[in-house]
Amino acid sequence: MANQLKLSPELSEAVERARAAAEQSGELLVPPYAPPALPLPPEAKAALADWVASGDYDRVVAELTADDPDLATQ
Amino acid sequence: MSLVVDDHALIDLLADMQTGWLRSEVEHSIIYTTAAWYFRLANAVQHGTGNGALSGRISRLEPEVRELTVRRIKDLPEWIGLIGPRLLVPVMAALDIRHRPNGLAAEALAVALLTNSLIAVSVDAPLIRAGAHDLGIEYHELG
Repeated sequence: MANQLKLSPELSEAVERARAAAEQSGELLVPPYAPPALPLPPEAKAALADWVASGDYDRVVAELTADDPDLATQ
Repeated sequence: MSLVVDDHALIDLLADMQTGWLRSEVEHSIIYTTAAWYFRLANAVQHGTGNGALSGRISRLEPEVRELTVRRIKDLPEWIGLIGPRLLVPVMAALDIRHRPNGLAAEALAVALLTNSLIAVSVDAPLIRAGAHDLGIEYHELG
């Protein structure tokens, strides 16, 4: 899906001028696109946070990556 | 891909409760809203009775989700883009469409043009729909 814009020369000029100013002022957002919050229910987010806080997540990652050079992070 | 979302869709996004088409789009889209829609939503949170379309939806959220959503409405996350009137007003004034738009419609159309976004609304807005058609902006009604 994409816009197929049909703009008069005057409007097109106004849009380009505003877009350039928005880029300069930082009002145009840039990727990464996704919002930082995952679309998960609160219970799932709490369970994930507990898993990370317990250290189990790091242990599992270390086990999975220990013998695999493609997955190693260090 | 960028989206300009209305106040109802903004509730869904801020509550992490978006479903269907919107849910799949936000994974790879930049999200914008307008000052008019943001104001309507913030005003509903601040002064709403819980009987209105916006304040009613917020009042029906689970307590912890409602708390998060209200906090985000009062301090809009940076991943929701908002373009200021200094840049938008000249574009709003230059809109060349068949039906003269009101301020809310003109702002939505101008943000969509400036950010090359499609417009996604939960509630059909005929003035925005007509203007989007004239300007070649995609207009999507969320189911």
